[in-house]
Amino acid sequence: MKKYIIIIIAIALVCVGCYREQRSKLTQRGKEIHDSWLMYSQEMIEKTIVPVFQMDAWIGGNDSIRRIIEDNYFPYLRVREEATNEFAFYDGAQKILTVNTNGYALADNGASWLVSINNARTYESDYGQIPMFLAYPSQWRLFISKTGNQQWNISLDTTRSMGSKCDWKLSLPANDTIVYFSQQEFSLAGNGTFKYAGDVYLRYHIDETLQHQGKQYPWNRGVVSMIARFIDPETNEIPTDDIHVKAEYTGDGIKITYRNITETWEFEKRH
Amino acid sequence: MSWKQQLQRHDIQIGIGDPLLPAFVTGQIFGHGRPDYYEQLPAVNWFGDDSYKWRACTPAISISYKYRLTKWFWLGATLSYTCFLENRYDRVTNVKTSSERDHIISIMPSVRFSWLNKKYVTLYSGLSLGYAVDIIQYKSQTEKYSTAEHGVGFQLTAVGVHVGRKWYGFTEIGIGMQGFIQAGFGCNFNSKKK
Repeated sequence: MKKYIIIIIAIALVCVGCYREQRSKLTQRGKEIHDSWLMYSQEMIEKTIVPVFQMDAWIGGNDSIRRIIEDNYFPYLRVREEATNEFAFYDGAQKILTVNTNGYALADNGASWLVSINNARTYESDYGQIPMFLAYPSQWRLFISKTGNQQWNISLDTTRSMGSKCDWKLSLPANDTIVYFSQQEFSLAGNGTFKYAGDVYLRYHIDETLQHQGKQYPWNRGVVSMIARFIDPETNEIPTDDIHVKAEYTGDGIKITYRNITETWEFEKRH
Repeated sequence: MSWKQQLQRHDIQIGIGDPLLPAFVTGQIFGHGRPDYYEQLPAVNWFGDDSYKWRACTPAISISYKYRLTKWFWLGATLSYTCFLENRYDRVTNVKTSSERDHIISIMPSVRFSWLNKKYVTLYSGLSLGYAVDIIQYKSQTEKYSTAEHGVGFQLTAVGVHVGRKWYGFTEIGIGMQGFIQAGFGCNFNSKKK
């Protein structure tokens, strides 16, 4: 009998399960919000602005330069001239971007370009493809206009972006060729709002100009403040407190401040 | 000598088993199926609890009574209980933000077929089928509720073995609310005749 009781107690102990989730870093939620901001802002830079600058170099080049630019910067895309001062990037038969130049090169004073994003970026879910933003990227239009020496203003067409806004100032060092844009130094200032599906608004302000250096990812220096707000789509009320996040880039990492706690997150090393 | 004089007719047993099936049925493991539309939108989740979890569960505890109608056929009932506990703690302050208790109770009429009836060893198979309820108690800083979900409880015992005479130990392999593997002890007895 004693044996049985011991066996039963042993089995009971085996069957009692206990699991404690790792508490991880205290600013984890703040880092998630920052990462989301970073992903979308990088997306705008890498998938929209950089190709536009490369297209600018392509438009201004002769045939041999055009071939070099195509081979080096967008081997899988092709530029087609759609109409006077209208060019488009194609990935196979799919149109990616359409650019309306006003007859000026981007480096020229008076350049004011309109960029339409033609393909919607989505992610797979049980409900099918869900857009990353409530404002479909296909409804986005960006204005890029030269405002000074090696300086451009980038803004979203607010009539079509449905809540997302952008007012950026992009600067390149003097004498740098803009075609190497993604691999060289540049800086970004300004503010904006990303609107996400589910009526979440992420408002951000670049407190200290963000500096990009070479292949350093994502930013080498700079500070950005973010405020996330949820607006109930049915009642149009704000049912939860806003979330405040501050991100400071330190060169090899990032200091995230969330709920009055600041922690450093190191970047993964890039090879 | 007939089996009525040789073998006891009443049987009470207490057992414990793994809680895997109740965990699966109530979504404690492998989730609750398709998530809500908003749960899939990562940005909306920023406004949920910023917390981490502590989870625990009891084994499937059961008590049953069976009466031997014939040498090989038993009829009775089983009551089983499993509890899953989940506490959430704020990631920054470490204060408990919510707790949830899932009490899963099954009451099932049972049959048993004992296909080997020796003095000290009995081998059997069995089936229990009845009612199960999942009583969910939730408490957080802003809300408190208790709700119940009803369903079917079952236990299919592929093979079970009793070892002992009046007091015995047992082990069963099967599938159901009492676990894939169950063990315990029990008591056989006859009612006193006047």
